[in-house]
Amino acid sequence: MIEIFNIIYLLAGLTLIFAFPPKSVINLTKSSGNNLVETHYINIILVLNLLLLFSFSKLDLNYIFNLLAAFGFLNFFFNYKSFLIKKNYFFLIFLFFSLIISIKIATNPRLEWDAAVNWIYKTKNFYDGFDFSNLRNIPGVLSYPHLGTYGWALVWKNSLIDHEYTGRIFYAYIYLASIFLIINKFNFEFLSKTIIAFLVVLVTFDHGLFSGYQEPLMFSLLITLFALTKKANSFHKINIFHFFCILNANLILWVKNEGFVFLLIFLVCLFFEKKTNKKIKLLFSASFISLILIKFFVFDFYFKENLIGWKGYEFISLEQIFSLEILQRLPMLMYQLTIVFFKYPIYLVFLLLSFYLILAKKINYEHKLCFLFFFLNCFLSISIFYFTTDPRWYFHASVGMDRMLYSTSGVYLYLILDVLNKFFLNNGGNGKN
Amino acid sequence: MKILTNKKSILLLLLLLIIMHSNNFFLNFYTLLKFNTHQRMIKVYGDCGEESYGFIKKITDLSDKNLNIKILNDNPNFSDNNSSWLGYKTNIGYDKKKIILINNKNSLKQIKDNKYELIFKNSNLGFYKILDRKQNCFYLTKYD
Repeated sequence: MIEIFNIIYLLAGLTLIFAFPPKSVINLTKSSGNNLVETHYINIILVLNLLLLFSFSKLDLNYIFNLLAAFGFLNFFFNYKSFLIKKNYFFLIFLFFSLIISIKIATNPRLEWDAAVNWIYKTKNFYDGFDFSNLRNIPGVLSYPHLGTYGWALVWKNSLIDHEYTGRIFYAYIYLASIFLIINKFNFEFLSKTIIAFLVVLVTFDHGLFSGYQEPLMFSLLITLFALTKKANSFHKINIFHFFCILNANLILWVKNEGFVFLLIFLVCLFFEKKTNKKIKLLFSASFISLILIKFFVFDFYFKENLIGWKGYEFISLEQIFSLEILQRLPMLMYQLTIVFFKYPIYLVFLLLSFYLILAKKINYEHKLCFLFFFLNCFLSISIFYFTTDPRWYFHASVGMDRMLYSTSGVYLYLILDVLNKFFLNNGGNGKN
Repeated sequence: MKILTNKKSILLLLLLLIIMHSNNFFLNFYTLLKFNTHQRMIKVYGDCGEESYGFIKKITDLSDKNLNIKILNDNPNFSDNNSSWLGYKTNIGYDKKKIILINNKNSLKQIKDNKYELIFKNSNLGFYKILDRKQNCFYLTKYD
């Protein structure tokens, strides 16, 4: 029973921690038609950026947790009306899902491969009171970013039970928050939203990836980057949501090294977006490139090490690109890609709906951007294994490609939910209550 | 929000039950109540075998807290050692005399009574004596 109580305690703690926005942020988001789910996610972005800063210091994790929870409590105390359950049934459903998934993680607390040989050491580094610079003294790949493991350590350290799995509730919480954020963007009524949340979790939850991998966090941050950009651009001028987008992009870079690739794909899609004005495109490009460079320099300053791909990754020479030996990789990589589509059914749903939209000639400009993201994403996921000199490329593809594609799969929820939304509206106007 | 009309309440309740059932909530809840963390860890990592959580935990709980103990995993299915994190403490040196050997295949060769030669993955690590043993898991110390 103590473990179930502990899970509830940690979920309450996380809710409090992420209920900490400055009051002005709450007011601002409220005035632009937001609700608790969206405000909560903006707080998640702000707090995670704070945690990123804290990770460079030796600040005690108990102290950070209690301080943030205290701020959250004060915010709750002074702005209790915005938390009233009456308006926030969907938030309660979010907490309900968080409990179910957390219990699932607790029941089978196994750490999977990369987590057991890499990520857990970073987590233990922070758990044991050391900072970012000390990562050079622990086993594992030094140039992997650490933000996810800092969150993992923070929750573990503040758990009533001293076991690493308790920290992984952090990933489940953020994963679900992002899913609820994107569903909340569409005009479904409460019951439909709950059904859709169930279906989305059904097709995107992979227990293996919650066994210490960073992909669920990347999945969530990419969803929110798109959600917030859409929101920000709806005002047709530079606003505070663009600032949140930039902070969100910063987090993506500090979760996994692939982050910068995803940001570049995002930028390419943004450049094709007609509605976005040039100033915003320029702002995003300049900010993202600056953030990529900052991350590069920080790793270079602390560890003299940066990594693209995996350890020892080298690109093949230009003349080899179309050689028969290298071209032979393509069928195998396409096969791997197909396996991933079946492993993560969200891709199948996306592809089926895409075919439907093409056949029914119902494609709009945003769908085309989604397709562009899909093709760029698949192309780059294949490229990383195609262009390596590593003779074990197939092994790397078989264990890495699925996780790369999982990270970005949340983006396709836009198209899926958009089609569903239009379907509901055309069949009886299932509008919001 | 007037969502809780009777019909919708029943639908919502049914939906929540379906969500709980499809996520094995009831079974998971029961498992958490019935088995403590240690038992569940042994179930997923093994007592002696696989990552051998049970054996490693027993040894690290009893040994010097200020030193890490090197863990050798003789399971050929693991190219890296995914048991090393169990009991690992940051910024603490390794005990130069002690070793935990799990999933032993042919790494230990008996020389005499409690004197063994440890040859792990083709490198000779010297002579050791057994301090503790469970099936194929060994807690070894340097033979002086």
